[in-house]
Amino acid sequence: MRFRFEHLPGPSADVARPVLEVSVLGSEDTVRCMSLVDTGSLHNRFGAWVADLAGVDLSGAAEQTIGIGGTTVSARTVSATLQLAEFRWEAPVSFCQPWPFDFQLVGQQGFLRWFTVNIDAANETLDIVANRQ
Amino acid sequence: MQQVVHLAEPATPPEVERVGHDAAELLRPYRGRYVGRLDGRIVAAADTPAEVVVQLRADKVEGAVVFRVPLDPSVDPGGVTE
Repeated sequence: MRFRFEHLPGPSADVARPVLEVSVLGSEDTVRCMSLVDTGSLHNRFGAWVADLAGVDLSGAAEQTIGIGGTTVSARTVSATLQLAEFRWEAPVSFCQPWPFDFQLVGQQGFLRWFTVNIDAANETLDIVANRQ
Repeated sequence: MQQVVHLAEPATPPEVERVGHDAAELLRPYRGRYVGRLDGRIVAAADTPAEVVVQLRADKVEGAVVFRVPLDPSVDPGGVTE
């Protein structure tokens, strides 16, 4: 699968980012989120609003404080059902509050473990192959 | 002795830049707001993601991606998170 970087309008120049449309499948709805492929993040980190709107039950998850992007947030981690294009997988997602960021983050254990990703920043493409066992 | 290869900075193809610029211009009026986008069109916009999802549900729109258009997309939330 080939995906294009997303061009985002900036105050002085556009910025192209390697983001993907990753869906969170909950009991109430499927919420498709703009998600940054973050090789520096060990885990998937999403805003708690995604869990709220999708209907992902966080009630049994312990709350922990984690640092993201220079700030600390409260996170509750559960196994969530995620989908990219036709590929669906179950992986831990930390749903965080507050979530001051524009994107969700898909990281090493919850995303890159499942897919082989070739990022070409010059041509602004992500070539992604599912890791089938 | 290992041969060193000096690399010139690769250029982004003009067509990629043009298509990307058009996509960015679509988003420009919504900087700082949450949007729902489907098939290259903005189908909902609001100040919160919940309001966007409510609009999408009311309009029976399925498959839209929901996100906040950054005020400054050069701000990087990624990196070490532990």
